[in-house]
Order: sequence, then C-alpha cells, then structure tokens
Amino acid sequence: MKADNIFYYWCLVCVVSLALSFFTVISFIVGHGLPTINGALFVGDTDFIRGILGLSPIWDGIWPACVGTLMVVFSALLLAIIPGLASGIWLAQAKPSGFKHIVSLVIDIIAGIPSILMGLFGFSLILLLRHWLLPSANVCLFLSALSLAILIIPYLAASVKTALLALPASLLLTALSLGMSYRQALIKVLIPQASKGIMSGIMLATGRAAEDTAVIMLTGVVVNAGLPISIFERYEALPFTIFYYSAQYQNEAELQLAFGAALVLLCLTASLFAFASLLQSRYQGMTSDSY
Amino acid sequence: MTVTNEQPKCIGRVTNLTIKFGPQTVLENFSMNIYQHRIHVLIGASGSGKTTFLRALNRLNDCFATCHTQGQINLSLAHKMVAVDCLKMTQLPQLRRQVGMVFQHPQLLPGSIADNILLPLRVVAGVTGVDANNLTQQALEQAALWDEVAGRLDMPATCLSGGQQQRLCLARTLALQPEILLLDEPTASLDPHTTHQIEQLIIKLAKQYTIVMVCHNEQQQQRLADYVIKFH
Repeated sequence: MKADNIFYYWCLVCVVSLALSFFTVISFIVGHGLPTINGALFVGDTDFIRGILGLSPIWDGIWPACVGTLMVVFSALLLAIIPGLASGIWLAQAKPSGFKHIVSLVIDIIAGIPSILMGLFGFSLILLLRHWLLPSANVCLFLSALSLAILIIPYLAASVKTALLALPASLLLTALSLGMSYRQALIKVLIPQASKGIMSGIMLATGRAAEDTAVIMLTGVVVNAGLPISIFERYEALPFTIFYYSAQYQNEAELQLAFGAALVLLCLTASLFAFASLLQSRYQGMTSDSY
Repeated sequence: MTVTNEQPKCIGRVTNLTIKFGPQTVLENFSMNIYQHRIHVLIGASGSGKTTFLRALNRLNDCFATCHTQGQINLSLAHKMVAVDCLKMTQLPQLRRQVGMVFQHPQLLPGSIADNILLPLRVVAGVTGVDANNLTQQALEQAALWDEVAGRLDMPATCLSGGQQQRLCLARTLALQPEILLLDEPTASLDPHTTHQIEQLIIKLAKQYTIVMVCHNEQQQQRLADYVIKFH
C-alpha cells in the first residue's frame, strides 16, 4: 500500500513538473517575444504590404524566414508522407519474414541518426552531384527538404505502424469476412479507424521538420536570402534565424528579434497542428455514411 | 458425422479436409455434405476445430499466416459448383460475400448502426443512395431488428445491447445477400430471451439460406438442427 502511494505521488510529481516546465518555457517565450511582435519584426524597414507580397526586398525582418520554413516543411512532408505511410502500413500488415525484420531495423536506425549526420549526408550528396553529374548543383531548399524527409520518414512509419497494430485484429477479419478486399479493408475500415494515431505521427513529423536546425544549416539555409523564389535556391528559415541571432547577436534589438522569431515559430507550428486536426476531423466525417 | 432427416439437394461437399496451424493439426480428414436450406449444427468440445472449419468454408483461415489447409471444398454458388480450395486470392472477396459469416461475439464496424450495413454495401456491392437504404431496412427487418432501431439509425452501433449487436451483424451479412450463412455460436453469452429470439430467426432464415452453425448447447442443437455434425 505504501509502495503504491509512493509510486502514485512520484507519477504526480512527474506530471506536475512536466506541466510546470512546459508553462515556464512557453511563458518565457511569450513574455519576451510578445512585445516584439509588430510589422517591423516581419519586414524591418520595408513597406509592410510590399514586403509581404515580395515586391520589395526585406533586410531585417523574419518574413522570408517564415515563408522559407513553411516551404521547407511542406516540401519535406510532400516527399516523406507517401513513403512514410506506405512503410508503416507494410510494417503493420506484412507477414513476419527476414526482409520485414531488416526493413524494421533500417527504419529504427534512421530514426536514431542524429540530424547533423543527415545534414552531412545532404551536403555530401550535393558534393557528389557536383563532382559527377551536375556541376551547377548547390545547396538549396529542395536538398534541405529531401534531408528532412529522410529524417521524418521513420516517425511517420512508426506512428502508422503503431496506430494500425493498436486496432483489434478482429476488425480486419470482420471486414474481410464481409467480402472486402484487403485494400478496401485497409482504406475503408482500418486507416479511418487509425487516423487519429496517423495524424499524431504527421504532427510529430511536422514539428520535427519545422524545428530542425542542424539539417538545414548544412543543406541550404542562410541568414539573408530574401523570399525563396525557387526550391533550388538558398533560403531563410526560422530555426536558423533564432539560432543565429540568439548565438551571435550584436545588440539588444537582435536578441529581441530572436525571441520574436521563436514566438512566431511556436505559433506557426501550432497553426500547422490545428490545420492537421481540422483535416483529420473532416476526413473522419467524410468516411462516415449517413442514412 | 451423424445425419438425421431425409436428404434434400446437396449444394456442398467437403472431402478429406485437414487443417493445420503451424505444427498443430486442428482438423484431420474431415468430410461432410451441405444441403440446401437446411441447418447444419456443428457440435464438439472446445478446440475440436468447429470454428476453424467454418472459416475454411469462406477461406477466412487464409488470413492466418501459419494456417495450412489440405482437401477439397466444393460449394454450389450462383448455380455453379465452385472449388473453394482452388480459388485465387482475388476471388476470395466474392466467395466471402456469397458465404456470409457471423462471429461468436458481435464484431461491429466503426460508426453508427446504419454505417455498419451501408459501408459494406457501398464498398463490396457498390450499392448507394435509396437502394442502399432499402436494402438496409430489408436486412434489419429480416434480422428482426428494424422495429427496435428504426428511429435511431444514426446512433453509434455500440449503444445497442449484446443481442441487438449480434442481430445487427446478422443483418449486415444478410444485406449482402449471401447464399450460405456461417454462424459461429451466434447465441453465446446472450440471455435466454434473446437466445430464443435469435433461434426463431435462424429457423425463419433457413427457408431462404443454407445455414452452417456452431453450437455448444445440446437443447439448442435439438431445437435447430436438421443435421448434426460431431467434431472430436
């Protein structure tokens, strides 16, 4: 009984500590970042509308970094989502075999690779391309997206696999017994049922792609590039802006800019999560029939 | 195998069926005939292979990686003799639609009462709209459930009682218009009143469908069986 109580209070302390840490960090960022949120934070001295629309270059604002972050995250998700989901589905449904064991192992290894190594992989890839195939190839947004995609594929695969395996085995059997093909059972019954878990994985992957600095630092991000005009150009991104200004600020204004950028990145990822939740609820609504 | 009653038209023949799960033999050299519009009751101790046999008739055992089946199963489906054991994977959905199955415990699909019938109708039979609604009502009436759920078809299926859930599963199978019904202890864990209701339903359905069912209850077997098949 005493051991039970100790365990219960230990769990409670952990949960409260976690919640307190979370609120402390958020309050710190909001407290320091909120006063800096204004038009100048995004476009600097440039005219706001012209800067936002890309009609005038922005030198001191974080708007190009916001657009760069969104572009690199969406590009990475576009590249990763199909292989990630497909790998997860295959891992959950394939019969046990040596090949399946190897694929699982490879995905686990990729999940454990530090992101700086993934950045180095991207950088080496471009060096290889420059040397052998494409002399004009250079680090760019697409290379960052590709490296990030490889980094987040294991998150997607693992979440899809876990979500599908968490469903009762009888659900698949029931669907098949009704005459559904395996593909129909998967698309019409299993995936809608596992959509919450799958969406959590996509959110996790989105967050991972949005916050990573090590990968993009070696594959195309720079301090000042303006709005990205193509996926084959260098670009700016919020995590790198935060890193750069918080580590190498020359004056108080630059440090405040880093806090503002941190708050904007937080809001950006929260908006992406809200959008993903909205999509999920729409998807669940669509898969349900009405009488 | 013990056979009672006179024998009407034979629509199925199972010959020397042996089913193994890994190294374990569940059923060995089993043979039986299946007769049109009759109730075949499979009895025997737990683990004697009754459910495995049912799942062999619609090839649901193929879903288990370690299952290995030998022997012949021939069923007359859509006026054609089909060698079930020789069917390709792509032909199994059609077989399973024709040989409908209701499990021991209600296996609901996610969603409302209506979703449970409409989803397979849409996905498997491609029936939607008014036709699907009509078929749903017809199946629920056949399963003696329509009066109880008519006003609340949009409610989650999990809100129904155990007996109602089992009848919903039966209605879902009936909506797909099968020729043979496989019932795996359909009254397991139901109260005597609901059991009686479902038994009456089975007797009524036997006029339209050939039924192969698993039963553990001797009285129920006596009440329902046209043919009794003992498993050892």
